[in-house]
Amino acid sequence: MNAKDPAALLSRDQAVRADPAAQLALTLAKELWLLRDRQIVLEAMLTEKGITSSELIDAWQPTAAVKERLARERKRFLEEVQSALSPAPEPTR
Amino acid sequence: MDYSLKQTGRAAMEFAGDFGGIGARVRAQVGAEMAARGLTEKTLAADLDERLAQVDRTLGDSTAYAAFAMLTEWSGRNHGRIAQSAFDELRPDLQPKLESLQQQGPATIERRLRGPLPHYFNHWIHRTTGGWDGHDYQGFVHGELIHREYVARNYPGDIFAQRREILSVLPRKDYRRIFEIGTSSAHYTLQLAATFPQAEIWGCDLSLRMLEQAQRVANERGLAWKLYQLAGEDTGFDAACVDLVTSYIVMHEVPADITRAQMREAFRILRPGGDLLFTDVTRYAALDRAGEFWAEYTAINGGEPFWREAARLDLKQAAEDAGFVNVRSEGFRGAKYPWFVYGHKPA
Repeated sequence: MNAKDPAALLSRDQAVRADPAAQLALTLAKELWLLRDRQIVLEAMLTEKGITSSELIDAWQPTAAVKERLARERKRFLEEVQSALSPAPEPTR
Repeated sequence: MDYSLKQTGRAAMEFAGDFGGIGARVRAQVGAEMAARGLTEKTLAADLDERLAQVDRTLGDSTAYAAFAMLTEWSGRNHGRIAQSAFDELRPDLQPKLESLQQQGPATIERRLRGPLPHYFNHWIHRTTGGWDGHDYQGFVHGELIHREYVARNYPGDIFAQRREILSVLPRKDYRRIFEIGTSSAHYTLQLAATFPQAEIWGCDLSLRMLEQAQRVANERGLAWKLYQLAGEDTGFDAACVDLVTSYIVMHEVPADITRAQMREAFRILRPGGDLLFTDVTRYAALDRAGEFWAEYTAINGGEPFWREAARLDLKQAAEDAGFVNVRSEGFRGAKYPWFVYGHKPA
């Protein structure tokens, strides 16, 4: 960015724009919405088929196997988030 | 052009579209903070560069200012990418239909570029991922997905009606041949064709991907448009061959010198008695200091490298310099947006 670039006059604004954590947060928000949208669609389709899935999901308690799977998936997801926020590893010398 | 987005693409486009609503609310908060911190018409710096730095300095610790930057940056980076992904999800169903629409119908594309693509074409205008030719179906991505599903939801008024209504400025209904500069995905071209059904429509653009979409739009309706890949400032057409030269929201996408050159070229190719109508963004001279700040801020961060020089160009003078008479440069129907310049070539 050179001195003639008008963006250089917005140094605080540009610092926020360059913050990867801020952009990641919004990308995750978008991904979260895609899943919520899909879940709403799925529940609506099941309701059309006579299955009240929303109430069934609310009442259902995960079995040990499902708990283990959820924990595994949650760990993987959090590792991806952490990775996205970490600096690139040093190249091997 | 009938299509239905699949779930992921639909949800992502809706998310991106609704993002604009959040941005508008946060922008209002920033405006209120500017006033609360003493940034008013009287205290904002007269010089635009100084004003940009002044606002940035004064609001440097403002949460709303940071949030607005964060939100608009995300939209700028991602809207094109999201639309391309939405298309790619549809591609197996849609591509055969698009190919068929392009190949079957009366509209033609002729490549008549005289020399390499101009330097100003290389910018990613609007931060559109890859630029105007950045996807093999960028015309559809831009024209249908971005314009209809994203832009139309976030800009004031009916952006399609605006393109039709501006044509009421023109004094004639009997144009035999109309030449449009910057046809893009043909939203304005459609309004030209509807308003002047007897006219032969010529359109040009530098982007082949955009012209391909314009061709599909025309073919779908049986319209025999002649589309050219060429620069509007250097058409290579014979002198005195068209009756109206027009563009909509194109001037701020090119350097001011190119707009002047387009006006000179328009004068050359117009028949005596012909008209010029270029419509674009609000002139900076018509804005107050806060309004000019916001326009410039949006341009800097929205992929608009030529906006400032375009918005400062004296359109009346430029049109008169090109030879036009009865020139009008004003906001449409007394508003500040859209802004048009009209000129007449003496008979």
